[in-house]
Amino acid sequence: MKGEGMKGINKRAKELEEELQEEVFGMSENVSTSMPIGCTTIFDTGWETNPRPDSPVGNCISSARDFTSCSGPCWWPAQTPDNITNFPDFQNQCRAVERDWRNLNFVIKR
Amino acid sequence: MKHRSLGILAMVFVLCALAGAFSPAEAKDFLFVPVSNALQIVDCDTDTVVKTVPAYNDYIMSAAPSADGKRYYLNAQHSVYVFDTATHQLIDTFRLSSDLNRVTILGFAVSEDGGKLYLSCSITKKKQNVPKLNVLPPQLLVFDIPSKQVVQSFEIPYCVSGVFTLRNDPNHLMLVGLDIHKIQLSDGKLEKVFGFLHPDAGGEPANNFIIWYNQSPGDPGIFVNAYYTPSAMYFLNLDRNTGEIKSVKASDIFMLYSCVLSPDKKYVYAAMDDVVKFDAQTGATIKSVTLERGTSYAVSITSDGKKLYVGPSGTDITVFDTETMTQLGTIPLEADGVAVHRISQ
Repeated sequence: MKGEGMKGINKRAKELEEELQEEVFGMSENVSTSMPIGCTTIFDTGWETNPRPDSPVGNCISSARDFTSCSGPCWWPAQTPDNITNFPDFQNQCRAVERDWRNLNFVIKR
Repeated sequence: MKHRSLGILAMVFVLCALAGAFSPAEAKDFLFVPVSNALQIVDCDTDTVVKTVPAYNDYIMSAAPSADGKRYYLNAQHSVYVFDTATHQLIDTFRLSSDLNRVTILGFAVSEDGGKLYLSCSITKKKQNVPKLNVLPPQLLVFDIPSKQVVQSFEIPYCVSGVFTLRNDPNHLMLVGLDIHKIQLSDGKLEKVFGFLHPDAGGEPANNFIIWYNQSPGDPGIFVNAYYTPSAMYFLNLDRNTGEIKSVKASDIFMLYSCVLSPDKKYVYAAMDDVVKFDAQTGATIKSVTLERGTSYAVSITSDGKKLYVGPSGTDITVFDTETMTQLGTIPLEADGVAVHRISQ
């Protein structure tokens, strides 16, 4: 809740402001590439986006076969459970996606 | 005279029998396959799962055997599990994350002497009652296995997903990501030795997807992986014996997740939607086969180079004859997985 113009009024608050200024590194800074990083910790945007107009197509067959690794490094954060941060134990519900996909509850938590 | 000849023959027979009894037993190949919540072990003679060890409760992003093949390390992103490959027992767990210090391991390697782990990490720190996350620059952590302590850390470039030891140089590592850097372990000094995204003047920028390292203890020690420019596919050859880096232009373009070099270094086998055999020297395609079971992540090869294992990604590994590239069978697994490594015992 740090507002513009708000300043620490005691010693501890001032120390805290100084500490935070020194320690915070924004992800957007220090990155020497224009490629998106965000949740995806690997620099590539994915073969599945198919950068070429014709063959090789590069789409995974079937998409379920590519689920396991994609959910790991947050490759498709919208389509797979983010098991780095929000759903670290998704594999307990879904040990094999082709068999257990109905058990996934990462959209609506029960 | 007759008795003497018989005696000599008997002695020769006994000596031969003793020699046979005390000669080292021929090593057998096993596949170690970490799947969700269990480590599975496959006997490469019978191509069947011979053991399932439900010793952890985690998703495994990558794995690596030690150089002597005695330990198998599983990267569960926030922690590392250690298995004894002889007993198949989970013998240790290194937890690197806490509530206020989130460490995510992107790639790792085991030192050649087996005493350290080198971990490429993304670290996010949080302070109690302070609603702010501090995302630190990426770090290489040097983790001492006997003391279970991080003993060194160095700032490294973003997106380092591949960490490689050099077999004859314990003082440096190769870090593979947007480019390849050699890091000096005494002081963290970085030297760019190969450019993917930032090539030398006149070169085309390239892209790679280096997550898998399908190494086996005692293999030729050359990491091979495909990388791509807008117009061509190349094989990166990183020789861990010498530190030399070589590129081989492929004759065709396939989308490939990972590769393995044959024991005689003549062929590269690679997979994603297809499994493909290439000439390692020329990059020429020898044969490609579309995978019936679908996309697969990893590849592994037997120590005699005769059988190729493709997978997992879903719950199976497909076996191929490397000579003919015909499918020999499919090994069902208990759950989805990402990695496979052959260890001979």
